[in-house]
Amino acid sequence: MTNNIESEFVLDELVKNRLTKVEAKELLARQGLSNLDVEIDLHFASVKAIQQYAILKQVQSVHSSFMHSEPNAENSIGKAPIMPSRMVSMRWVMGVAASLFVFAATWFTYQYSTNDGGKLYSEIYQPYNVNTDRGIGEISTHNLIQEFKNEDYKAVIKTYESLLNTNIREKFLTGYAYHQVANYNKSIELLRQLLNYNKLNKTRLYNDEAEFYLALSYLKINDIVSAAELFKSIRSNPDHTFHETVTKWNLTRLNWLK
Amino acid sequence: MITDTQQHLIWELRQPDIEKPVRQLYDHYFEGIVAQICANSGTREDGADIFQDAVLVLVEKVKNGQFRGESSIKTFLSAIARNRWLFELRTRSRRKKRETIYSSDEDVETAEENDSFNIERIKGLEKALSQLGEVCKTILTGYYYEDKSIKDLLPQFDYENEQVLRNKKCKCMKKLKDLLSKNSSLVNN
Repeated sequence: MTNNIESEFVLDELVKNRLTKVEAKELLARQGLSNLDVEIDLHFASVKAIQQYAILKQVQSVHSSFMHSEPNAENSIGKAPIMPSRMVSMRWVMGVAASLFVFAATWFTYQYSTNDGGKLYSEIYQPYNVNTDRGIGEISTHNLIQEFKNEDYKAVIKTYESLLNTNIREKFLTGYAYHQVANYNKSIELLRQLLNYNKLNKTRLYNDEAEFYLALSYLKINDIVSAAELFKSIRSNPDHTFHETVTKWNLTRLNWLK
Repeated sequence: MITDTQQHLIWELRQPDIEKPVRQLYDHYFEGIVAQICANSGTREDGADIFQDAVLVLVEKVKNGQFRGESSIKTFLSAIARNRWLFELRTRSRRKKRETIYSSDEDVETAEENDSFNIERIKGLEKALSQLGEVCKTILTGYYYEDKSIKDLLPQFDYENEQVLRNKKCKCMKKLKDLLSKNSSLVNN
């Protein structure tokens, strides 16, 4: 399999119809490539996969927002007709239902009376680890990433503040670092800058992570409305990295805190 | 939907950003397809899933020129949904009864049996692509789906110059090819 830049350029020219297959094969053969048909097929399959993936993500996004915006669509989903064969003794059902009600009421009362932001924060929070893969190809003249890996968050902030130009990754990591040293207002400031940048440039780099830790920072400063809004948006998007981390139960308890 | 509007919708579906026209498809046709599935032993949830699959097939066929609007979008979506639901019913071992109900329906512009947009494969592909990381996905979709050049893509990233981004794209592509080679069922034959 080729990963040679020149070969890939030829394959891309073929995909974009700027070269014929014969011309492409000739050029690839000159570059010493064997199994030309396999290389070409795999390149086409990869491009097709990317295109279909892009279509799938957009359709899923619309599907998800449509299902959440259509009360008719969402509320009646999953309703199945009652099957006569499943009918059982009414008395037994009522007895079980009453027991469940008493249990649920007791549990609910306990949960409601012990609900607070700190407890909720501990349940939702999860630490962030640097994904080494996301930095491949970046040229760095400072130690911010290493300091982050060492969990030396004060050093991360110091390094960041000394930089003239910063990128999205450095901004996110420093936003997280501020969160870790309990400077939540600065964390909010940086993470919001990151989200605004993504919105303006139609990119999504570190977007999910920024939303998650921004919501946690809001929770820490007791801005429950902002935190709830973000957590709700995370929960409602099945593709969000933290979709599973934020549960419906978390949202319910957040609403109690309002 | 009148023909001019349909042609405009098809034109919009050929562009990279398809969220607006897809939303229009949902607004116009979702309820009809869901009703069709519900009338044939399905739930609304079944109908919603089937509709999403039908939209994916339609978009793919518009993009590769197999659907040009000779038949109406409504008829096309309905036929795709019918085929998908029949398949689902077959899987659920209720074949005989349902095929009788549907067997008299008309043929449309393209038969789904020839469909290259196999939903299960694409969903498998989604899992595989998630292993590429956000940067790779952004670069590759920008280049191969949105048809942007390396120069157009550069401002979105923090790479020093076009060559660094080109190298990164090459590495991402290599990673994707590795993934596809290891799982040939994800490749569209």
